[in-house]
Amino acid sequence: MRQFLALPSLIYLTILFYIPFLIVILYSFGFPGFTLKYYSEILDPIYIKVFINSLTLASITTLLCFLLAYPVSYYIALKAGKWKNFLLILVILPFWISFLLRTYAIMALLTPLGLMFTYTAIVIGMVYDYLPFMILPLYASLERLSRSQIEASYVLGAKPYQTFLKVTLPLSKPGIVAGIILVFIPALGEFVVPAMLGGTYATIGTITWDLFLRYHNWWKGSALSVVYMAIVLVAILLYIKRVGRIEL
Amino acid sequence: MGEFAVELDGVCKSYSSFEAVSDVRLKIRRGEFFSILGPSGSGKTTILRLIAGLLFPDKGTIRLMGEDVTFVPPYKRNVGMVFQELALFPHLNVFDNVAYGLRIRKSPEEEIRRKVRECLEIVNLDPEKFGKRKINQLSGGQQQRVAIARALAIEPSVLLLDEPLGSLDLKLRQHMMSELKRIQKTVKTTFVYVTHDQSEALIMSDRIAVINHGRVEQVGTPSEIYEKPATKFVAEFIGEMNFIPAEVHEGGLISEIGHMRVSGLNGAKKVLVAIRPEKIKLGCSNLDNVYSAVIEEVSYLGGFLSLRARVKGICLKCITPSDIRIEENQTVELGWRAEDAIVFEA
Repeated sequence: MRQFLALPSLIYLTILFYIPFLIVILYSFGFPGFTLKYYSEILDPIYIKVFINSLTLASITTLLCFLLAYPVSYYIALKAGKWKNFLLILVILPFWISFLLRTYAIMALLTPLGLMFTYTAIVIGMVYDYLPFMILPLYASLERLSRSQIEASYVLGAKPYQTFLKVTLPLSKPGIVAGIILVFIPALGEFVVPAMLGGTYATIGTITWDLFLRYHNWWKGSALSVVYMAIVLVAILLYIKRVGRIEL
Repeated sequence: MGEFAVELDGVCKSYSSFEAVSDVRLKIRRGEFFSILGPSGSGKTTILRLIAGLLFPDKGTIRLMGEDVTFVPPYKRNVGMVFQELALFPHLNVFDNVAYGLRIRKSPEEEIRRKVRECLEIVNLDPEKFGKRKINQLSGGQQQRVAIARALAIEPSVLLLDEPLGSLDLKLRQHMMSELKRIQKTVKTTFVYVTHDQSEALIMSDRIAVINHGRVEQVGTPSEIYEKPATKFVAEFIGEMNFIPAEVHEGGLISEIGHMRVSGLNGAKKVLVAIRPEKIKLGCSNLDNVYSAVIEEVSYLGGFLSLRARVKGICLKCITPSDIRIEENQTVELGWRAEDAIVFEA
């Protein structure tokens, strides 16, 4: 009986994930025929540049999200006291509004500043959209840190900045790892924000979107998706191997 | 440097509307095992945190080794602290936990190794066997020892312990009490031990301060605190006590159970006479106070009997060696010496 308990999720995954994924792979090899043409086309320098664009944008987004989120999470977890839940709700509140609408709202804010269709606009939009995904895991790991561990460090002679570097930061590592993965991966494939705020700025996401929906080149789009997924998979495996297992 | 490791002079600390510590004066001698004993919420942990510098007082002065540290931050005080929840660093192994304070002080690596080894040996943990272990691979008692070693490694001017035995089971607690006493005798550091458990304080301390509602009720040796409680609170809080309300009449005392003789009456009109259960003797008629009582309840406690005796409207708890024969509903003579009764103003 027990071995069947995983069955519903297996069926679910098969229908919604494995089968579509298989279709993508089939298309990337030129379904209904077979060719490696689409993969060789992707090796074109222009696509490599697009990959680098995406990696750079995702890295900048992740770094900025981390720098902005850490103080916020620290404050909510350790200093906010009775305001803790209220502040957490404020962090989650944007999720109640559609992602698309929020990006339109950002457009409305950036237009009078003359920032529309610039790289800055893309970064602002990305950071705004992904910030909660960094704050929440950081908060969860900082919340487990007890105030007395920080105090113990003070009493042992460590100044606040030493305490931060030697106690707070290492103890929040699981949250940092989780936050980086939760922001970096979707940011790498993001297409709505660059498309809406960046105009013609090309990322893996916008190019894939164009290939499927503008040029109806499903084969090349699929090949691009497969390469993208392979890169993400390798990146995560390397990252996990380096930082240890992920604890969410 | 004076003879005191810690001095608190007129220290007050309030939290928004509530006065946690008011006008506390304490002088803790160097090398003594000093306990701060009080019920929960009495302000004893606040006093400890003020000494550590984790809180600053609203009023008053705090001196460590004769030096005014009232507003000195904790990282400049050189005190050791063992927290109630231990607060060990789970990302560091045992060795690195103990070495933490020394590394912050940038001691040479050679010195750190020697000191960590020495501290682990003092707390009876084999440095070879435990040095590389993770904190979560240790038992509660072992974690306790690491926390003490970590605090001692920096050679603190005073070691503060905030109810460190609260989370241990009875057997381990008794063992750790004698261990703490032994450690204190070995390192000769001043220990300031906060607890709500009177037996911990009585067993381990050289002197005890009894705290209630943020005030010091009495400071004294365990036997002074027990034998000569300064206030009714101390009498009630430490050990067991019978209280008999009485009134002063023409130089004598009259209570519900009859005339009472005590030594030393102050000017008060209405008083409470306090008498320890073990000071009440049964079947002796040559005492200063003798009454006839009915035994209502007998509980056997091994070497002792605990009795509930009724003298008119007053119930008295008595403790007596179990070699006497006594039964419920029996009528006996009981009494006590005048000097064994303590008189408090009612």
